[in-house]
Amino acid sequence: MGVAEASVSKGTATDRPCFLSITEAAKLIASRELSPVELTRSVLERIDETDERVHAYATRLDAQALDSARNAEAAIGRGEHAGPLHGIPIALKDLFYTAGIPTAAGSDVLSGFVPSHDATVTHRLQQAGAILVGKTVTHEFAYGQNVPPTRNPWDLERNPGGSSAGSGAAVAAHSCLAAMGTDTGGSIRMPASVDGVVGLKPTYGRVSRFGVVPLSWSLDHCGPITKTVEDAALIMNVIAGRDPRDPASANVAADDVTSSLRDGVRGLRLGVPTNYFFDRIHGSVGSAVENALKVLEDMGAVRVAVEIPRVELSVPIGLGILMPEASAVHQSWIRQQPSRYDDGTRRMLEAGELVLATDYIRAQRARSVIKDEFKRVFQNHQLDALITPTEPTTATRIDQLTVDFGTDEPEPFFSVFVRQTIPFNVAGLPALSVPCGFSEDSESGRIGVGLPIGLHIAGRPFDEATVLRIGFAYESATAWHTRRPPI
Amino acid sequence: MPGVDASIVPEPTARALCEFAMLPVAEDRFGLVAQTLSDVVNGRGALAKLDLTDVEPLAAFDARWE
Repeated sequence: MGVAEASVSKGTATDRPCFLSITEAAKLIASRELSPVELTRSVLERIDETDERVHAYATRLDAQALDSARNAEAAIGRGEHAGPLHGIPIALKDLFYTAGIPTAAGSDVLSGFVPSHDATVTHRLQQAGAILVGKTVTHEFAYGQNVPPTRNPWDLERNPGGSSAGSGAAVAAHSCLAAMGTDTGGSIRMPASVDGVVGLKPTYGRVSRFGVVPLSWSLDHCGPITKTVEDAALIMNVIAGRDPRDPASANVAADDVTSSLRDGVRGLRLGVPTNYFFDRIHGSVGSAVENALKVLEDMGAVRVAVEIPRVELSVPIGLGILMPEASAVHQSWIRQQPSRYDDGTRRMLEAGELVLATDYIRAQRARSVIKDEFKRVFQNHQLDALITPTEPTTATRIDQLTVDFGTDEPEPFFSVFVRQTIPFNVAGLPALSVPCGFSEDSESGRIGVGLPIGLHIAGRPFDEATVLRIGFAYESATAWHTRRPPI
Repeated sequence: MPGVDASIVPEPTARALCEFAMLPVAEDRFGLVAQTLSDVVNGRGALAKLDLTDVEPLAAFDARWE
C-alpha cells in the first residue's frame, strides 16, 4: 500500500462526522449544526464498518452511548452546554473502572469483574459530557507479552502497538473521536506513534489513577490518545488536577493548557540529544524527525545539541521498578489462579517475585539520578523541551519478534519499543507523540512502507502546556495528521 | 542489554528462589522463569556501576524539581 493511496479518504468529515476531530465536532455541536446523536451514530457505524478487522473494542456500549447522546442533545437544547467534550464519543482502555460495565484489563483473571464505581478519569470525562462508546483492548494488565487481536489500521498485518492497543487503533480507525490510555513504559506513545495519532503521557501525578487497574504504582500514568494536539489539550483540561483518592496525585494547579496553544515556538529552545535516542533507529525515522526539527526551526525554535548522561540506564531502572511492583500487585492472584494468566504475563510476574528488595531500592535510588540528569540538562541549556523519535521504527508485523537495525544483532521487540519512551516514565516528565511522517522505503526489508512515524516532545515537569504548544505548532505547519488509513 | 555481559541464571537457582518466595511454579516453567531472571540480573549488572553513595530512595516519587 502506497502513501498516496493511504491518503485517500472514504467519505469526508462533513458527510461522516466520525472523521471529525473533537475540536471540529465541538464547534459544530455548539452551533447546533451537528447533533450528538448524529455524531454518535456515525461513530457506531464506523465501529461496525471497521472493528471486525481492527478489533479495537473489548466491550461495545451502543445502547448506553445513544442514550447519553440523546441526553446530551436535550441538555444542549436547553442551553446547558457543558463544554467542548459535551456530546463527544470517546473510548476508554479496559483498565479504567466504569461503574456497572465490565472491566477485564485484557485478562481472564478479571473476566466478569464489574466495578461498582468509576475511575476518576471516567467520572471527569462523563461530567464534561463525553459519551462512552466502548472499552478498548489492552495487553493483559498492560503487561502481557501476548498478541491481542487488535490490528494496525494502516496495515492489518501489523502490530497496533501497546499496551493501549485498542485505544490507538480505534482513534486511527476513526471509530471514536478520542480514547484514554495508560503508560508505564510507553503504552500511550507507542500506539500513538505506530498508528499515526497523537498521544500524551502527562507528568507523573498530573492525572489521577484512582480506579485504574494498576501495573506499577510509581510508574503508571493516564493520558489521552487523540487525532490532534488540540484535542489532547481539551481532554487534559478535563482530566488533569488533584485527586485525593490517588496517593500520587500532585497538588499542582492544572491551568488551561489550550490558552497558550497558539503562541508559536519562536525563541523556544529545543534540546536534541546527541547520545542514545538517535543511536539505533531506522533511516526513515531519523529523516522524518530531522525534517520535523527543520520545520520547528523555520518557525523560530532554537535547536540545542545536548547530552543526557546515563539515560541508557533508564531501561534497567524502569524494569527494576516495574517488575517487582507488578508482582506485588498480583501477589495473591498469581498464587491463587496462575493458569488464568497468559503465559507471557505469568512469566514476568513470577520472575518479578524473585527480584531482591535491595535491587528494587537500588533502582529507585538510580531513578533519582536520572531525574536529576534530566533536570540538569533542561536547566543548564535553558531548554523548553527535548525532541527525539517516539519509537526507533514503525509498526512491526504481527509475527515479528525482533527488529533489525542493520548494525548489530536483531533487537527483541520489547526492548525496541520501550527504550525511547521509558526514560520519561522514570523521570516522570510529560511527553507527547505527534505524527511526523511515513516510511518511504523498506530499508532492505527491515521495515514496512507507508507506515506512520512519531515525533516525541518531552517537557519540564507539569509543563504540559509547552509540550502541547510545540506539538500544535508543528501539527499546524504539516499535514501528516490529516492522512487516513486505508480501512 | 548493550554493553553488559549476559548472565544466565541456572534453573535450580530459579527453583530455589521460587521456593524461598513461596511461589508455586509448575515444573515445566522453571526454565522460563530462569530466562527472565537472567534479564533482571543483567539489568542489575548495569546499575551496579552507578555511584549511589549519597542518594537516598524516595519515600514516594515526586516529579517536581524543587
